[in-house]
Amino acid sequence: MSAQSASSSHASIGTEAGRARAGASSSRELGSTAAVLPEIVETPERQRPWWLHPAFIVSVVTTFLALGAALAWWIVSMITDDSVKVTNLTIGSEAGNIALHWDGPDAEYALYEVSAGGDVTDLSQLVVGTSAWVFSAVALYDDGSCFVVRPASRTEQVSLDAASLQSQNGAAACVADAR
Amino acid sequence: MTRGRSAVAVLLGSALLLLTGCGKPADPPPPPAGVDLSTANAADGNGLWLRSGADVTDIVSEAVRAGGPVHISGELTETVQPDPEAEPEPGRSISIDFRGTAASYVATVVAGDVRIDAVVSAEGSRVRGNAAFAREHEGRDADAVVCSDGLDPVLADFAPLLDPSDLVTALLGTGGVGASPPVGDAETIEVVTGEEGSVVGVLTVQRYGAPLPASFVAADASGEGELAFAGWGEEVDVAAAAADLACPEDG
Repeated sequence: MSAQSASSSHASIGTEAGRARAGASSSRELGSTAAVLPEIVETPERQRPWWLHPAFIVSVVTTFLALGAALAWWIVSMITDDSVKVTNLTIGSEAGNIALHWDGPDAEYALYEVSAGGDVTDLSQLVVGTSAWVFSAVALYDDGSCFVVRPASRTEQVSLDAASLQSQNGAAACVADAR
Repeated sequence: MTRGRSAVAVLLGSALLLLTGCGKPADPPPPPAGVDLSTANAADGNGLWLRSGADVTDIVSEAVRAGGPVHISGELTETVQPDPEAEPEPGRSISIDFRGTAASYVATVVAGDVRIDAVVSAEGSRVRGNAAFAREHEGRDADAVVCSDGLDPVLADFAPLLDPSDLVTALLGTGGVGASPPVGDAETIEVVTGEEGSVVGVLTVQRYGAPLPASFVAADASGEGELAFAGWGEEVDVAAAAADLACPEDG
């Protein structure tokens, strides 16, 4: 303040400290010329790269979520569906009855008898685990019959067609092969 | 306008069906009719007892047909009651000794006082009857062998004795027939014929494999008797038996 007052007043002869000056304007400016408050400057808009755009980030996140869900779905369907599959179906004769054995996990299986004429009979009640014994003297089959084994969850039409059996995870064996 | 809209609806519906991958699941196949398999255990035998009535007769008869040659021997005696007041007394008896199949066999049948010896094979039939047979059949001489290329028509008179399958069908009938479940370690099961409370006959059949008869015992108001079925599948030397019944022109 004092420096400002010193600079604002002109040094002149005859002036002393403490003496009132005459002639010279002694009025001080009321306002301060120095800027006290910071000047408000418009900051230039920062240009964001496209990969940091929120919309892009959200879309990446949702994409990965969808991929993860698809992977989980695939794993679940692999475990639940494809694991129940009938393989190595064998047909033989045990104690006079037809015996069917196959490989597969511990699951429900359905057994059908397909006659030579194409009629289908449900013999699932005879299934025990991954085996089935078919009574020989109950007229459940004849020499032209075939048996279809498939997971019990399947509801498609019973068929001896190889492609259908494969798509149903099933297998077939005929009485003619038992002897 | 409305037509176009309904067409679009139909298209959408069918597209939906196609997308879901199926129209209607196929009807599930039916379980076998008249058989309760839920409690059955296949280790118990061939399961004949699960059936009843004419089915049992058909199954046994079919097994006999497929069973090959057999030796049937035994005697059945009629019980006759001349009038309702009189005591029943044994009437005619039929005795049979049959070896072979329905198509090729050696048989001796004695029915009352008629007796025939017959040899039948693919080559023809040879029949020799006794005097009573000659009386009943015109043109036949007692103790003379009659050879024919085909089946001798007189043999039809002895049906169903000369066809094991027909014989079993006749013995069992088609009415009240039932097989009883196997008991213990028995090798046979019993097929009982007759109505409830009045058993007409009991046919014992194999418990494991084809239900081939082993014996038949009949005892009822109309007759009694016993037949034995043995030697299933053993070939019969029909040619040797035919040599015994030489045709007249042969020698």
